[in-house]
Amino acid sequence: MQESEYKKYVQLVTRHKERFVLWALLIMTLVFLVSYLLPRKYESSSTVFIEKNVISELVKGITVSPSMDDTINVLTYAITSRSLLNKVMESLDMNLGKEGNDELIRDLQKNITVKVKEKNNLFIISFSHSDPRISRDFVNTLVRLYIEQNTSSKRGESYDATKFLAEQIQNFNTKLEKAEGEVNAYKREKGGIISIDEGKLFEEINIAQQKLYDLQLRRRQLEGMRQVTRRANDPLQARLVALQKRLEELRVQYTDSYPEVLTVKGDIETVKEQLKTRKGGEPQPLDPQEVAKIDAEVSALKVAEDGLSRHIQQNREVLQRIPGAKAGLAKLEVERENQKKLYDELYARHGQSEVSKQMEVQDKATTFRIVDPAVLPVKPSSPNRIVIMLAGILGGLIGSLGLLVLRDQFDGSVKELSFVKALGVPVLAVVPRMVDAQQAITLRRRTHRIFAVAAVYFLLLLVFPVMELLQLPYMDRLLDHLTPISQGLWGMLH
Amino acid sequence: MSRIEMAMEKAARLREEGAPREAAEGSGTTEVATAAPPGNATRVATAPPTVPPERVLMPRHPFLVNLLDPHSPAAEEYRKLKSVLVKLTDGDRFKNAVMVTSSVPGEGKSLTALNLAASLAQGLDHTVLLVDADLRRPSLHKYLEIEQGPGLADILSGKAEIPDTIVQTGLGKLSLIRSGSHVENPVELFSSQKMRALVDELKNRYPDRYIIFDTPPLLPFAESRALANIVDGVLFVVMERLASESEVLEAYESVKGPGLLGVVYNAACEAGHDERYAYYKHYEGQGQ
Repeated sequence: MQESEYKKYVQLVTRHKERFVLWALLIMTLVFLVSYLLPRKYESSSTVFIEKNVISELVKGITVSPSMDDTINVLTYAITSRSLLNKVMESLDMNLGKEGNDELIRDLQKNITVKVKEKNNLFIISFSHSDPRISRDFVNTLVRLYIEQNTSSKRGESYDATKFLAEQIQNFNTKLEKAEGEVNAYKREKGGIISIDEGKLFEEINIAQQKLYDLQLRRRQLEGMRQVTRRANDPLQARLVALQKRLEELRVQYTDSYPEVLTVKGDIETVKEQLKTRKGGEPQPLDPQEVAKIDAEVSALKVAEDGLSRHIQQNREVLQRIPGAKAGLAKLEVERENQKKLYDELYARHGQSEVSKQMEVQDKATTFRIVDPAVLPVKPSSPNRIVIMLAGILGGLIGSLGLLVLRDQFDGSVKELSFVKALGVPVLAVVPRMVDAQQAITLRRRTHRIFAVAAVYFLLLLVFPVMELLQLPYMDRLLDHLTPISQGLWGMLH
Repeated sequence: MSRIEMAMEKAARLREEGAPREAAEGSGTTEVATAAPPGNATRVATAPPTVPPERVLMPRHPFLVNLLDPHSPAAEEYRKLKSVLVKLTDGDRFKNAVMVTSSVPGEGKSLTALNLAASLAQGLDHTVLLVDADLRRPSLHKYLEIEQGPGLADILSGKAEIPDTIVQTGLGKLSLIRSGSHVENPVELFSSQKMRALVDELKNRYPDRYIIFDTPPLLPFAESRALANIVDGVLFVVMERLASESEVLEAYESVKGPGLLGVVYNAACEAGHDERYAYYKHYEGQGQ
């Protein structure tokens, strides 16, 4: 399939070789003409180096300079920004007598290219225009204005930063002072509680409690002693106690009707009667001195007990209040610490920004240096005629073949025997194409003549790319001469 | 009879080969063209007369390959066509009236007719009468380099008799009826009863004679279609890269039928033929 296709094309070209050559030459000629008629554009470019000062390396970390990376990142946009282009146009008087700034700016933006070589901190700004002079001036003005704008904006930034920091320091100083005042006031107010040690207080309470228990025990002992002292001195009472004891013992062994139990019961009744009857009578008096002594001791103990329990109560209350007071103080102290930290940081930054500002002011930070200012371009950068012409030669060959194929496609005549065979009629003979020798010679001569002329013409055409290759400006000069004439003709036509 | 004829022809050919070329060129062609005076009606009924050597036609058209270059591949193809045609027409009834036509002008009808006729006439078995039925643009006399004279149109319009119009070419057993004088109504003439009668007469006069009609193209004119109904067979010439496929189809539709003998594919330049041609060349080289 592939090979037959190839064969088909070869046959096609062989059959129409004159036509193929002529068409190819026609296409080439047209392309060559176009390459000369395309508007010429001159490109100027300027190289700018972003220089980092030695000082900026030395003071690295101390100063904070505006980020160069950011600057480079937005370089393309910054350079093609409307405001900058407007300034350039104004300074070059490009917009004089022209309406529609927008269109002009868009046109300029299209023709500006910025290439950034980040590794070397180099960037190349190019601009192409039909007038080489404008091209050069535009690039130079653009770069100059951009650098000016950039430097002043960096300076402004540094100034602004320092000013802002100073303001903030003032602000934070006030806040810090206030916080400190609050802490002091609190301490003054709750200083007693805050300074108490909780553990010691708790121990103290425990000791006091213990003491209280001891006192209570002693008091009860004394009170018991007094009772006992009183009873042991009465014989009736003693007898009653003995009888009752006896009755208890008897009841363990005998019922209530046992005679001895009854006897003891009777005795107990009797003793009780006696005790009743004796009521009015003075009991056996105790030793009054001893009783008074005990009484005095008991009352003293009572007083001591009361004192102690009050003390405990008080300490307990204090213990409960300590955590609250301490928390309040901590809160105030944290607040003060925060303010202080911020203030310190701001203060340090302020120092850095002061140095940065001084660096910007004295132009000691990164600077733009124009390594290579734009010069007047001699040769147009576009159109690239050699490429166009070479493409034209190739395109002529391909295009011509294409036209032949197209023509063959549109030719609906019988081209193959298979068509006739497909009709279903027997093919009785296939007569080959006959060529008259005389005519063939004539035809061949004609072909040779055409080929010779075509070859000469092709060589003539080759002169143009060679001229371009050798950078001979004859054609450009000729075109420059012709331009006014053609413009005049154009004007006359309209 | 035929043997005598053959002998005479052989003698004539020998003489022809021996005769100086200038003499033949100088007088022969023009003489023959004006030969056959209208009075000799009786003589035609018999066998075709022997042509005197100085009156043998010497056409020089390079495409008359069967006369000038019999070893060429084209001549071989025409010989092939001849043998196929003989096979096709040789049946119970000798179908000897054959017409050559095509869809559009310029496809090589006349040359095919001439070469086929020459090829047939060079053989031993058949005599051939070639009729130029293309009244609109007659060309056979030009190829054979004789002048126009009384011919088919004159017979049909009653101005001449058949015997008066037959021209002996001296090329084998080939005779010719030219188209004749210019007429305005070829279609009417062709569709007339007279035409049918003429064809019948030509067919039936000699049983071994082929009558080959060279006709106008099918698509622009109607004559060929009329004639196709009268003759025994139709040869349809198709030239490569001339008529469009649709034209060929249309013309084919108009002659399709039992009468259509087949197609002669003309001016082929297919790559597949190269080897065969080389073979022919080999033979040609040996022949010379």
